[in-house]
Amino acid sequence: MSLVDLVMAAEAAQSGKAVRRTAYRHQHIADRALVVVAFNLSGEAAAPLGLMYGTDSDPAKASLAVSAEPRNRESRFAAINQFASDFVKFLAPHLVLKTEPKKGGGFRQTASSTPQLIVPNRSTRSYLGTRLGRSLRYLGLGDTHDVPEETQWTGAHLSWFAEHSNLPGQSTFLAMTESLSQHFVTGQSALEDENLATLLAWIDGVPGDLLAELEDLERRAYGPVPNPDWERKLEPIVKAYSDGLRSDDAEKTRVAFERVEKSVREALAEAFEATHRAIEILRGVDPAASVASRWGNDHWEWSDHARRSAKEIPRFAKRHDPLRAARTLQRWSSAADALETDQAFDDPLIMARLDAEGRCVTGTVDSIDTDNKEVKPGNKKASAVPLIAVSLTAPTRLLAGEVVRLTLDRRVRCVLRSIDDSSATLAVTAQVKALRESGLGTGDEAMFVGLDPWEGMDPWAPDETPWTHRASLDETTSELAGDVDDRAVAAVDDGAPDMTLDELGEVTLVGAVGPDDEPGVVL
Amino acid sequence: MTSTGRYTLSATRLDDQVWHNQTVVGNEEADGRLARIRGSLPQGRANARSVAALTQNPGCTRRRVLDSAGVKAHELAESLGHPTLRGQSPFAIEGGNRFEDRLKRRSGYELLVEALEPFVQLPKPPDLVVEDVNAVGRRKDAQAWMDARAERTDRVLSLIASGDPGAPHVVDHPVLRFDLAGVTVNLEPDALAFRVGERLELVEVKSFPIIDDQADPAKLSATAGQAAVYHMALRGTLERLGFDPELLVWSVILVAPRNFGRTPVAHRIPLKKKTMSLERVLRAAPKTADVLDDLPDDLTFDVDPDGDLDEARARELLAAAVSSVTAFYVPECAQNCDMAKFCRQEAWANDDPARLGREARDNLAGVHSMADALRLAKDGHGDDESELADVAEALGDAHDALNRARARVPTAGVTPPRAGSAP
Repeated sequence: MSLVDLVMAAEAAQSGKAVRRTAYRHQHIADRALVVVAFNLSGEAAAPLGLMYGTDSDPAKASLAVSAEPRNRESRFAAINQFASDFVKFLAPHLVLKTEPKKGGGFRQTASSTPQLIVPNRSTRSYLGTRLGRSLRYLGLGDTHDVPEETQWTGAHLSWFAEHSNLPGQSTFLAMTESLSQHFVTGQSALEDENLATLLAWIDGVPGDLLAELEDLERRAYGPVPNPDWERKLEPIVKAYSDGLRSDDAEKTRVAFERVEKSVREALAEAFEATHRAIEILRGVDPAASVASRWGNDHWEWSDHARRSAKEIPRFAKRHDPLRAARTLQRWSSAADALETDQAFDDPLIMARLDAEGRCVTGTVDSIDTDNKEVKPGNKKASAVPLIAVSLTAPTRLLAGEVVRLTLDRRVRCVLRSIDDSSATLAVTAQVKALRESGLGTGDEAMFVGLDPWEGMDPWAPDETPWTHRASLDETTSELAGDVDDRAVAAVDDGAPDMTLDELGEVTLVGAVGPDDEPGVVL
Repeated sequence: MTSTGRYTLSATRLDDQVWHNQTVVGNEEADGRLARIRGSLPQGRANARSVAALTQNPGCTRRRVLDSAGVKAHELAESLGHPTLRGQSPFAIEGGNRFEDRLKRRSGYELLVEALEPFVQLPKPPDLVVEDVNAVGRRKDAQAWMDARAERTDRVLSLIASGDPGAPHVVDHPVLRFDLAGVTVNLEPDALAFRVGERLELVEVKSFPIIDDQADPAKLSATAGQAAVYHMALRGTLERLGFDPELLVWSVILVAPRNFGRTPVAHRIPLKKKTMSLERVLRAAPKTADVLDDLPDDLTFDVDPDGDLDEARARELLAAAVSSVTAFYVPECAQNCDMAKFCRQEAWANDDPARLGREARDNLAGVHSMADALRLAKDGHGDDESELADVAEALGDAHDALNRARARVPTAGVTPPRAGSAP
């Protein structure tokens, strides 16, 4: 938390309303994003109780897939297969490949568009991706139960989204708590901001006592973990459903299913609406300049997945092999650096954090000496090095000799020649043309920042495993990447939460659980 | 989700019975005061969870006093009108019970032995000797039962430590006595396993999944923290019985479901660092008797012993009593402590920077309210607060930078309106 954030949080705490952290929106919001909200049955790794999803903001138009007993295979896969079938339909137009000419001649295939998935919070994102996606990923391989092809595809697609969601600056798989807290500062902690209901209350404002309202909102659960009180009410109905199945009592099963469905629908509709409200808030903020190029990168990555998908169901390894892990890590960290720099240049409010640390030179331009010529190191002839004289209007900690960039146009690279309490001189050492284009003139306010981003190609893309990743080399690459045989083994090894009807019959009702109760049976 | 205490499926819920914490503070005066603080309120027992709450935030006097006096934090929070949200799912409890039951009772401990195989080679049933400490037989009095289990655990540990050939291989439901900064608490690890001829292993059964050899980091960390407490307790017990505590391996074997099914898998989690840091934390924590010295003499949380006050009045008195014991609130408390909602409301009322989190509190050291922080940011420090000069300057720089930025983007402070709704 920077001090600028702290000042903003103090403002928010005083006014009882969230404060904008940024001037612009730094993520892409698609016109037709697929919103997914989900509840998982507690105590299971990936056993969805219900999924509500759709592209329309009206929950009445959204689809709902419900499992009244997720520990029963038929019931669970009825819900999963329904979602999978719709999910594949949603992605189908985005997977269509089109051929376009390449810059240097030749052609390449890209996806016709990029899909966007939006969920209420980070935990739903990791539930859908790394849990549900992972649980479906190896189905259909080896000795596993038969599932429809769409369900296998969904495992692959969700796995792609899960992996890609780690890339800093991506917009294909957004969690609204994360996005909103990147754009707004509240007077509560980051931990509390993970609750979408309270985060929205801070942004939209509430009439009356904020804290009382927040305490009330915290009782709501937007998934994937359901509210324990609600689960307590659900428990006997779920039990009635499996009792109905076991005794072959169709009427009992139907009634129980409808009760579970109604309850799940009500709870999920609230989360669905809240997620759409979050989207609406973000849409209301103008996008930052570099959002389009990051979304372009998302499209590039998605096209890669689409090309793989054109051949067969893409298969994902359980873990990256060392080389792939090293490359991925390098890609993510350079994306994180680039994102930080882009946001600072795009957005004065983010730049303000650097300014507060004294890493900016801010002032009024007194003169620009465009005639100055100097012999740069390594050159024989003198070239133009304009000198900008500035009267400082804000404090700085930068010292002479430091490299800075013009915030108006980041291409303009300068060296701080001299600086004292009231004035500074900057020598433009690169992109004199960009300086002219920027239109900076005498009397203008100018700001320079002590950032010097790398602009060339990525300097380092390892083609052999770097020493940092050699510890796990004893595990062979093919084993980790998984050829078909290994994956078949992996699939069998996965296990399932399946319980037979007889086992379900033995399930006892637990009822109310106190906060100090723990699992563990006294014999 | 931390777990280890016991949850019974039968009607005789242990929690409903009265537990007597052995509150050995060391002087009668302190014991008397703790008894007065609790008054006629039902007594709670310290367990691994309350130990975790305290070790996460050792500087919190309020939590210390509640634990020492045996006051149930969740009931107190409820009486204060700020009930905890930390509920547990009946499905999760049922699943956890079933998982542990399969490992132990249903398979005659065979599944547990198989899961432990990579780390501890134990004979298969029927050669396996299991000592279920619960089998000491129920006592009428819950305290007597706990005492009997603790004694039995001591006896069994002595057998194992002295290398008795007839010693059991698995000790189920052991009870360890642990001195937590002056309060004796009873801890119930899931099991101890004895590797034949060598050393003692601590085993913990959890029901969260381990997917592709990875568990949820938060849950894993909570498990390790809890196991570290058991580890300390067990080392202490071995020492008390006159054995070398190094007999106990510096790790815990976690047994949990593998991937998406119910097959158990075991992983060894190293504990040395965690246990040592826990030891340091507890050593540095002030003794309960010292903590009590700073409290009002007539302090009691049993504000309405006869039940003749109306709810609002009783709540008011209780809030005053609880507030007279200082808390050390941070938002993370909500994960461990049932009092968190009350303490948060207090932090809000005091405009305490801690409401934003530890980092904000530390960054604003010496600044007691958010309003003060804002004032320092805008106007600098006053003549009589020269000690705040540094923080005021930093805040001022941040505030000025923010204002310069906002001047550049006029729309930056505007929240988008709700579509279709009147302002």
